[in-house]
Amino acid sequence: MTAGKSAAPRPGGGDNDLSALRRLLLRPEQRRIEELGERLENPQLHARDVSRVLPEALCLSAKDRDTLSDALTPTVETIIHASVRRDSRRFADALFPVIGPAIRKAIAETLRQMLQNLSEVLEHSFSRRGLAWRFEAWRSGRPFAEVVLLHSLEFRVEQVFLIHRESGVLLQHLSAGNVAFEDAGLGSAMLTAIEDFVHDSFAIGGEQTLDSIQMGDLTVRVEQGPEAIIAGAIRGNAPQELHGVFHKALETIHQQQAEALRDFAGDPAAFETDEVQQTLQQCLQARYHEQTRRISPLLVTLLLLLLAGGGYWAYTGLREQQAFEAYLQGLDQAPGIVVTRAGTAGDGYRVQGLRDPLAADPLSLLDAKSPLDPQRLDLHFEPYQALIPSFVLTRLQRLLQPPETVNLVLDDGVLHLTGQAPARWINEARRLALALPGVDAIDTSALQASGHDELQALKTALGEQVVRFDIDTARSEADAPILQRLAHDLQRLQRLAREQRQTARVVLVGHSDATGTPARNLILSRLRAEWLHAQLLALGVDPALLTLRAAGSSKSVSTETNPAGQAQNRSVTLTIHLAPKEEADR
Amino acid sequence: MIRKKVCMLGAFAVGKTSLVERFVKSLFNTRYQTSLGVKIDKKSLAIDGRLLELILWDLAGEDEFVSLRLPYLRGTAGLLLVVDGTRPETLDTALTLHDKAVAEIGEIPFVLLINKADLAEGWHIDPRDIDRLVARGWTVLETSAKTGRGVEEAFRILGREMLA
Ligand SMILES: Nc1nc2c(ncn2[C@@H]2O[C@H](COP(=O)(O)OP(=O)(O)OP(=O)(O)O)[C@@H](O)[C@H]2O)c(=O)[nH]1
Ligand SMILES: [Mg+2]
Repeated sequence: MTAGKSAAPRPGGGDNDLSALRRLLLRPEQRRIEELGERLENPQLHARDVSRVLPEALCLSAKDRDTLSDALTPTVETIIHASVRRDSRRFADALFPVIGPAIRKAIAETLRQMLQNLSEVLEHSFSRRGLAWRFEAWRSGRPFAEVVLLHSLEFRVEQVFLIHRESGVLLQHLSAGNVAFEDAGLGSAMLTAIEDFVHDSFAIGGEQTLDSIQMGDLTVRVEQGPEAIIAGAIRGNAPQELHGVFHKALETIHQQQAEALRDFAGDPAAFETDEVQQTLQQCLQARYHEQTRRISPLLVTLLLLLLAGGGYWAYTGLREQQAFEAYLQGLDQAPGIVVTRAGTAGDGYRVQGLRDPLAADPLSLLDAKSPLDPQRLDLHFEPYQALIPSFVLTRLQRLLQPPETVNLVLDDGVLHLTGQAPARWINEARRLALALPGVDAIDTSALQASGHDELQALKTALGEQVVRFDIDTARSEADAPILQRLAHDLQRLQRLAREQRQTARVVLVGHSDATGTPARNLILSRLRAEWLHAQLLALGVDPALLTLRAAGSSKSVSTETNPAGQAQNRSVTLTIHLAPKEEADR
Repeated sequence: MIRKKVCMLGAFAVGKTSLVERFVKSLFNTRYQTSLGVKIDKKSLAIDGRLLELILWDLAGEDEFVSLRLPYLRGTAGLLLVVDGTRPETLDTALTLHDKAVAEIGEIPFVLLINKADLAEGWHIDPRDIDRLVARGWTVLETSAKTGRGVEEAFRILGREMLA
């Protein structure tokens, strides 16, 4: 204004007069101009001026809130930061009155949500669905509570209303996809009316607010703010955490639209912004899950059966395995069985090894009570001879077939034979036994050949035999049966002697009486011996057994000279020689 | 579009519900069914080229048993005070209700309706009382839910005042 006035006069008239006039007229203004200049130049004065108008300027500027707050935000942030660093205590003191309630509120809200989740978990714990979820939790290895939560999120926020709290007037409305809603404006008013009605009818204290309304599977969740309400129509199982989503949206709207809410006079256009739409959209898109595949009870039963079967199978498998190992141990301990390889083979067990034919039947070694199925045992044993004394002995018994009178003892590879046995058996036994592995030597010193006595008796008997002849003849009067017996006895003698490993020799000695000349007697005795020899050979006696000798009258059988004695001397006698075979061979 | 909450106030059976019915649906029913709690309706009006949506809160009428539920008045932008022309005492009730409302939510636009105008011969309201109110600057209208007389006009007047 001052500047305008000073600029207004137009110059005119003489120079001096004019400047004098100007000085006169304009001195006060000039001084003011100088003053103003100084104010502008001098920072101290300038600051004082600004400080005078600053509060007012801020107030004015606050109406265009964004610019000012945008400009101030970094500074304020820096100030707070610096303040906290310099003296955090002061800051804490300032916060103290609000921080307590804030924390309490946060904790209370958290606890409330936790309880809600817990109750949902409990609620779902024992239902059929709950069991299915339990199974799912078990299958997926997730905590049960998490599975429940996942399923609980099967919902859809179909409508979101932003409502002016005081009047119940609808500020903004969004619906999900194809859901049609006839009259959102009316609905929102009704919602607040309901709240009023509830307050009114049930005498509820001032601060309490309507949280949700439920009708069938439709839930209307209400989130209350100081200026506005967000209500969501939710179909399905609305989880408590949706409150958080709504709450956040409501907070954002309160922040962004603080002024519009405060000054609201019925014109919802102020909320027709993208900002609000996006915020509300977040409530709408509240995740809803695809329908989880219901697990049919049949399938569960089947799986359980399989599981049980698997368990039983594993159990029996274990038992079988243990039984198999026990069986192997038994096999190994059994004499005459050697296991060289064992293990599972396909469906059963396979054992390979060596088995003495005398050893026990491997299958008989399987305990009747063993859970091992013999059908599933595949046994392969190669035959072999075990040098176990008992087996060697058994084998000897089978091989030698000793008479009952013989006793076999195997001691450290030496076969001791005791008792009595036919010499022939003894000889065979000696030969055979040594051929058997496990028998290194045979001791027969205590074994008596059973034919020995008989041989001696026969020898004696034959030695006493006298075959008589008539006077001056070389033909015996002995009849055929006597000769036959003699021949038989001789043959037996030879056999017995052989059995006793002896060689028998029989000398036929011819005799004569003393009546004739010695020469004649010698010839006669020889003829008599030759006659018997011929007779015996004819009866089948081995010629190798017999030798001849003419004794004449020199070796008389009887020394009697009477007729009886003389008759005795007209004869052939037998002299038996038995000698051990080796001796004879020599 | 502007949305405004309007409350219907008045003694019982003065015709609040009937007026809303007439205004919103152009219907009239002689049967009387007393309202309980609140019933909400809405109707849009074009006023001076602006679209106004009225959210009409039809509250239960006041009598010796039921008194006004003040919480319902929160956020109300306009009132329709309804009087039954055939029952002078309902005017007193309307005045009392007005005072209560003002005490609760402050001065807001309102219109006083003397209803059942079709029964004018049976009216017992002292015209001087009405004159006194008009002198105080009140807007007073004669209406009939039955014939529809003055109904639309009443809502329009209130709407215009609320938009002012
Ligand atoms: N003749 C006539 N009858 C009316 C008129 N308005 C209402 N009525 C009748 O009056 C009775 C009460 O009307 P309502 O509209 O129910 O009255 P209200 O004020 O809503 O009553 P409450 O809900 O109990 O407070 C009904 O039988 C209506 O038919 C009118 O303009 N003319
Ligand atoms: Mg009614």
